[in-house]
Amino acid sequence: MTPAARKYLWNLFRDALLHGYSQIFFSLDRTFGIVLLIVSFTDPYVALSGLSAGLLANFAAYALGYDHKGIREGMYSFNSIMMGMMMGVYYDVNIQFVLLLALLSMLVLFLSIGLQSRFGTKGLPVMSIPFLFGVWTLLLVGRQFTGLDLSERGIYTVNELWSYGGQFLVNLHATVEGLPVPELMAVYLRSLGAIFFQNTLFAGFIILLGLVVFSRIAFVLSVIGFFSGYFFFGFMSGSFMQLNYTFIGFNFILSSIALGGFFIIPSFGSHVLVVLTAPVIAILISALSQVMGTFGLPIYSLPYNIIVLLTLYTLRTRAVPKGWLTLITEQTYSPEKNLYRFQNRMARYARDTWFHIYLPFYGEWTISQGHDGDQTHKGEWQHALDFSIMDSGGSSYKAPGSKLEDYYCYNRPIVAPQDGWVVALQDGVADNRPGEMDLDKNWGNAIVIKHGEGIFSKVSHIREGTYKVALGDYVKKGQVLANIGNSGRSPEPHIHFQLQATPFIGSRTMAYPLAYYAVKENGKPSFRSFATPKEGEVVSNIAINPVLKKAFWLQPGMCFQVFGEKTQEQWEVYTDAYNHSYIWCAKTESTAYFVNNGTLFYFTDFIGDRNSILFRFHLAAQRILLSSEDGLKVNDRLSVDTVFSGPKKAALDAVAPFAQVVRADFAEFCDSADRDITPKWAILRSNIKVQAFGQVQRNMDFRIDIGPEGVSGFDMEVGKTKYRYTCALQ
Amino acid sequence: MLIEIKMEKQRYERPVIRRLNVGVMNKFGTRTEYEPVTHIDDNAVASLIKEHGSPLFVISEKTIRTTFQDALRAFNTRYPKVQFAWSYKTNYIAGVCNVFHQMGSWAEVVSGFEYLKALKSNVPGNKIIFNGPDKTVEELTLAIDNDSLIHIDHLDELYTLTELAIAKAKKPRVAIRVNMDTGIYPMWDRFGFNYENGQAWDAINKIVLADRLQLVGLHAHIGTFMLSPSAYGVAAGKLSELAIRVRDKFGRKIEYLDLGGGFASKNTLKGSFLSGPDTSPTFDDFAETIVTAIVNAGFLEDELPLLILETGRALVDEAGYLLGSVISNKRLSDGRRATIMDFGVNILFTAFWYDHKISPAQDFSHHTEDTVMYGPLCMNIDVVRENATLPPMKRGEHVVVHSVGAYNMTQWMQFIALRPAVVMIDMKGKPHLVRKRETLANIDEQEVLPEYLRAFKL
Repeated sequence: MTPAARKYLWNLFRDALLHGYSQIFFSLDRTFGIVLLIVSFTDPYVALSGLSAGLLANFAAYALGYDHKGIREGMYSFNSIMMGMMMGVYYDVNIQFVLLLALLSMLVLFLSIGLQSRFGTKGLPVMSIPFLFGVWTLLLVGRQFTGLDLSERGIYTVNELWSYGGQFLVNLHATVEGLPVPELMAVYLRSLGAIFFQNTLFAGFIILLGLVVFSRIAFVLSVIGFFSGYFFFGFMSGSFMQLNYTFIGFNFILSSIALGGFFIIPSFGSHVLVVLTAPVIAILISALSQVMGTFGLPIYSLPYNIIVLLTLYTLRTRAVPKGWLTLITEQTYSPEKNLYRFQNRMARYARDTWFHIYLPFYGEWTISQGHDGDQTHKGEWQHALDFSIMDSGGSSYKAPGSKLEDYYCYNRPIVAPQDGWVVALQDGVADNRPGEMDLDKNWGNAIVIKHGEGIFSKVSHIREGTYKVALGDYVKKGQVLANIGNSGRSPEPHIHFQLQATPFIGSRTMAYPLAYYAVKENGKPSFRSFATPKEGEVVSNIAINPVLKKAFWLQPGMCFQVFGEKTQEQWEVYTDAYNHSYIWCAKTESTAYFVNNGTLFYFTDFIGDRNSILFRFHLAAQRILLSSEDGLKVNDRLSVDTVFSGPKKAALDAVAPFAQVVRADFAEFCDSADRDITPKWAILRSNIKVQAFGQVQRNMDFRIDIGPEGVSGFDMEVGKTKYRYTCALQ
Repeated sequence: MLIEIKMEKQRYERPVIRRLNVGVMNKFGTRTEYEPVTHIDDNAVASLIKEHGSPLFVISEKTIRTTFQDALRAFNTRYPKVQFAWSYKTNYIAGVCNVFHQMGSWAEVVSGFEYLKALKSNVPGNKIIFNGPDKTVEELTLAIDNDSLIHIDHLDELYTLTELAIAKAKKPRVAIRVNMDTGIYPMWDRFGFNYENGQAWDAINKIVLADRLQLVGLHAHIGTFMLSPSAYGVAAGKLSELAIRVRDKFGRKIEYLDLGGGFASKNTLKGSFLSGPDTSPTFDDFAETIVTAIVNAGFLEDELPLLILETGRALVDEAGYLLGSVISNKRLSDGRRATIMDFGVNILFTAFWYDHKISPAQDFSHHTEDTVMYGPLCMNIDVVRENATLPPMKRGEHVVVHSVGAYNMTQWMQFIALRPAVVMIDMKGKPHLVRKRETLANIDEQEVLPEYLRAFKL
């Protein structure tokens, strides 16, 4: 085995084990995992039992050939770990114990795998159902397999503490337990500890600390959920006995975190949901414990499992998902990250999933009739656009305008707005003379292109006999289709352009935005993305600069050397199994995810060292327009966690689901570019302005230099400090 | 109450006696086609002359810009990559050139002098196209250093450039000028390399195989004042064919096709039956044939070459006016009337080719008379119009000559008289002097009088 392979395996199993612990709190935070592991050692037998079960499950999953990502994230081990710990709580260690532990650990693993493949298709998590089955099995067989010895630990706590840590630990325990903690808080802390089968305040404190460090949102949720359930119990005059003795209240805590911030984007709505579901859990606790009690089995996390799965299933089967309870699509294992990513995505990429449709012509055209136009864009055809060419005086023709050739747009080429198949084509309708209309064949000569399922574009009023494509052809974006004429219901030559969901020439229109284009107002162009041009606007497609296009065309395998004044980094481009491209810096273990869609290059996420050069480059090139046209500027808003880190960010986290008090605005434009026939360079400038409560907190200026081989360097200026980096493609 | 009405004194127009011609009767009588042109872009002709003297060239920036926008629109709504290069020889007054540069035009020059003029106007070296048969070693060296686009005219130039490239260890960017049969007469086969007999392909092979020069473009300039757009279609097709052959044989991309200039303006050629505005093709006509030929030539979608146009005349001719004044009227021996103007072929060189439209600059009655318009030179060739139908004008009255923007302000002569001032009227109607009236000092400045010739006694 090579050292690299050994290192890989070591990392895999280390992560798998620690994540197995942190997963119990929906976290993939290794530090939190370590905290939990240490907490479990307040009872070493319990800890070792859980640890062995976890290791065994991970090794088995690896040997059976399950995906390393799942193993690494602890998906296969966290149920086994809990089951192992539970076994350590109940029974003393002997040879029968070890055998049973191994077998049950396997049973739980198989249950995890089996349920995952069934639940996964419904988009539901397995939760701790395998654990429940495992532990119930254990308890049921434990009564019959008398080879197992019931543990007496947990009864004489102080004795045990003394045996592990002597007088010091006993004193510490006594101090903590003796703290004047209010009753309510004590119950909360003990419930927190109970998640880890520890009913001490001490364990509760440590877990609380870990939880706050891991996620402020999760902490707030756990408090809200717990007390909502707790007070409901009180209000209904329910029996507190269970809550106080077995601390079954952890069901409230786990459900709150799961529903409030883990499976649902944290928001005001998700907090309300948590407040409302806690009483239901209280009901389930009371009811289910009656049922399970007849079998002599505790309910453990059964209410939590039921309520979370039920809620998720209900939300997932909604016909029209409402915004205030949005389900997570890509899990980041942190309520904060889930929230920031969601906010980031809504603000920056919500529209990027639209199909990219461009303008179907060359040059600058004017919208002579927009959506819901006065003339013909009504009813089912309201979402159409008419384009014509206007001169500086606003006229679409030169005098006298009596023949078609007088109209500027007559006989101009029409190009494909995006790749696709020609699915309908009408030819043979003669042009009208100016002012006349053919109401019989109202669409005139028209072409429909299928870009994807349910997305078609249509151009009408084409000149007879000018088609350069045929029915069934596959056309490329920008390819000339035909020339514009004046056929159909068209008193003067113009392009009628519409997007539709069905492939017919007479199909109704569909409101659909155009991907990217430039609008010229008073001679000044500005950039538009995923918008619909308005009547009277002068629009054109965006010309892509070949130097910028080449510089940001990052292909897997490309390597860059980056030099700062004192530091040096090497970046390599990769693409992962989900087809996400990213730049990886091995030295700082940093990853910057990016997208290049041909018009824009943008970073979507950064994971790793915030002092790395890669992080700074990712700030500088947050969003780059690959065009050097004068006056085109792109704006963007950065995610809070991109700009802030440490205590500042932690403080913002707790309020983040409710209000955005800080904002970071990003702007980018092309400062200057070589306009030669074979251009060699370009200079881009970008800026990040961080504002809190309307006051500018921080201002960062960037300059990116592009040479013939790509990005040759960049500057970062924060206050009076200036950093300079040079880049070279290897 | 008395109302005082201030009226201008009625203008006196002398009577004319005209022979009655037999023809179709017209109840309106014979009228001139002309309207008086008293203002140019809101500036009174009289006050312009009063300020800057007569004769006077006036350029309308507004007309330049709208004409350019028309031309640009004709091409860039048909083709994705279009670039205009301002032809310096057409009009190299810095003010005019810079209006074109402001609108994005590069510079197209045909001599070392024009090259330096473009550089002086801060046109970047790599945006200067260097054409013409006569480029000296020094000029070529400068062009190489500035990374300009050098259009090779003949093999001797090709060899000189290759030697310079070796000596300087640089790879200059070049194109070759190709001449060809486009079905028009005369065929300009004296410039560049011929397409039909294979010279052009030979030159391309020499350049690419020697690998000392970068062949980035192909250039053709098929003629001047072209009234037939189809010829451009043929030229564009033949250039495209060469470009595709280069791609197929050498795997190299020809970055641009330069179709040169030669688009006709709206002037009326001498001997033409119909007037210019009725016969000259529009930019759209030219664009349509050129672009159609390139698009249909078989380039792949993303390798369509940049289309460069060096149109000069059609972009600037209509923007230029010549204001002049009547020196005298006289009767010729055959009874024809003659009007002597203060401008002649010395500053209106294009009078040799065109029947320029001339409008009186003040109101007149509907009576007109055929007249010969002479210039002020004491040379028999100095005829501005052999026959113009104009109202009778008195000494000192003004006329406006239309469409004189192209070639006159470069081909004018300092012969007998000094050259007049040039005024440009900006977009807001404000006149700016862009070239001062010449003075004796300008002539003296250049002359060197040997010491022994200084003194004489008469």
